[in-house]
Amino acid sequence: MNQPFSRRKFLKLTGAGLGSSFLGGCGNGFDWESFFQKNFQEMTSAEKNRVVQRLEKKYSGHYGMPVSVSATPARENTVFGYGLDLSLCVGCRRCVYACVKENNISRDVQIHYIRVVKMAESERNLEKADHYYSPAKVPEHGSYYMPIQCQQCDNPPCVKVCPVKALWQESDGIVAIDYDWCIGCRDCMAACPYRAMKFNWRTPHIPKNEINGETHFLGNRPRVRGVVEKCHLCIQRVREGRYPACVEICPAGARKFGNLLDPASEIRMALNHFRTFKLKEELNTQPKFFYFFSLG
Amino acid sequence: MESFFLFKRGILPRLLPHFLGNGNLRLSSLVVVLFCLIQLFGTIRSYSSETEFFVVPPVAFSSDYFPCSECHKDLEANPEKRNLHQHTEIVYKDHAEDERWCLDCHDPADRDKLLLTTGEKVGFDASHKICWQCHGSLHNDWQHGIHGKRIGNWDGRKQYYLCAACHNPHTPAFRPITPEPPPVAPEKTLKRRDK
Ligand code: HEC
Ligand code: HEC
Ligand code: HEC
Ligand code: HEC
Repeated sequence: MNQPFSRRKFLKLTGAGLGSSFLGGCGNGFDWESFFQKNFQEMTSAEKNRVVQRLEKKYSGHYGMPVSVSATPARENTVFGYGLDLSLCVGCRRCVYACVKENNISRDVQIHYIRVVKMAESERNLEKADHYYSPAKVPEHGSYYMPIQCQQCDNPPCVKVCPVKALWQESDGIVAIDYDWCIGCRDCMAACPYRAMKFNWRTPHIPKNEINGETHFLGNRPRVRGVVEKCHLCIQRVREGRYPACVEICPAGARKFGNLLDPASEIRMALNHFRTFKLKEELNTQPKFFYFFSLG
Repeated sequence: MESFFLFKRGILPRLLPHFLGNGNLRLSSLVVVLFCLIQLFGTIRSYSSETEFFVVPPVAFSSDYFPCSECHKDLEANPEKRNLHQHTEIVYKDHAEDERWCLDCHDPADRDKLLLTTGEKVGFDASHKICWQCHGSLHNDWQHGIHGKRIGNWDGRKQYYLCAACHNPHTPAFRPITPEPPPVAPEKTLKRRDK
């Protein structure tokens, strides 16, 4: 037995090394709790509470202002629907920027949940749409405008392709993302026929004085580099009973929102009184986002 | 690409040709009438399910102008169509101006109020009632939240914007506004990254 370095000795040494690196890790403030954080869908409500409190502390510290993170669950007998009146939309893009502000979306690398495209009056082909129109005044004669955002599909392709179940549909119809489970593979971006998924290529920077401190775990809480995000109907607002930010900002009143299961809601009124259509209906994504022309 | 926009039609238009093409005209017209009645009453029922509403307070007029009666209590109301020396910023145009003028909407006796054709006087915070007189169907739509705009709570107290918040009653066409900047085009982003 003249082995200079026995197997036994090796194991002892590596054990000690690993142990000390673990300890060292803890000493450096490695966040074990977030390392072992479950998928939001699998958390018990006690676990949700703990996670939410930890995040509130983290975000508040980072931004130097109180940031609340809620985990308000979906209401019963509620399925959200959204309507867009193309007769009224004037293409002013107020919604685009209200959304950016409300949802703490990256500013320096620009991410917009809503894209507004301009089309000639007789045009029905989205491939002929113009994203970058910028006249002095809108609406321009002979064109109409079409805002496109996540269509909150009832048969969502993004959910189907997500390999880690970071995307799913909530019972109120909102397609939600657990940003902590997203691995950034971007399969959902390829799967979405509406180009609704947006990827954080860099760490999103938001000026501290522009942070919206009212956030939801599945909504506008701060994101990190390498995760996807998209419109979630302002989950932090609608779960508290409020209208989404884009609905409230629209100067033309072209945006309608409500509970599809409530016959008196605006969205049901619109569905009952106008001919509505869905975008790319033939793909069987079954959007809960309806377009219509209320006039003429 | 034709199938890009597929329209979801009401049941009635789809059934109509079916009934009309049928030889038994009397039966089919009875069915059509029944359908119409069902649709009509269905609509009325759903319309009456909501009655109460709140209005977003109108933008306050400048204090130089309100209360209007400050000047007008000493002025004789003058229904004659003419160029005014006062209120020169108000142009009544493109709103059936040949048939109407100021005092068809503004109460000659109390200038702080608007006057309905029924003789009822309403405040500026109920100016939608003026529009109701001629734009009944759009007013209906407005009352049910599908024309105009609501803010507040989707499942609770909501506030309605008055017609006058979006349409100047004197020149009512929706006025063009300046759009927000377009998104940064991807080519530009790429160029910036190359630097
Ligand atoms: C600074 C004083 C002043 C105030 C305040 C004022 N008006 Fe007048 N208004 C006048 C004068 C003076 C005339 C008559 C102008 C003319 O004959 O050329 C007039 C005319 C009118 C007329 C045309 C019909 C008529 O009787 O001559 C209307 C309608 C009217 N005013 C509405 C209003 C309303 C509504 C307000 C409040 C929002 C208001 N005015 C506030 C001074 C005022
Ligand atoms: C179709 C009905 C109608 C007619 C006709 C009409 N007005 Fe008005 N007017 C209104 C309503 C409604 C308001 C309230 C607007 C608001 O709340 O912003 C108003 C507001 C005003 C105001 C105060 C607000 C402002 O814009 O300065 C004045 C002054 C006024 N009208 C003057 C006149 C004069 C002068 C005429 C005739 C040339 C006239 N109006 C014709 C409906 C009418
Ligand atoms: C006495 C009837 C009458 C009343 C009251 C009335 N309108 Fe009108 N309105 C008309 C008529 C008629 C037209 C079409 C005018 C035209 O094309 O010249 C019209 C047109 C309009 C248009 C379309 C304008 C355009 O150029 O596209 C708007 C918007 C409008 N009215 C809003 C209102 C509002 C808001 C009120 C309430 C403050 C109101 N109207 C009150 C009769 C009325
Ligand atoms: C949130 C803003 C908003 C409010 C509130 C609003 N409208 Fe409109 N209205 C619009 C827009 C936008 C259009 C489309 C204008 C266009 O495309 O030129 C329009 C169009 C109209 C038209 C023209 C319809 C046509 O066939 O061309 C009438 C009339 C009208 N509105 C009446 C009313 C009346 C009456 C009320 C109140 C009961 C009202 N509006 C409230 C934004 C509004």
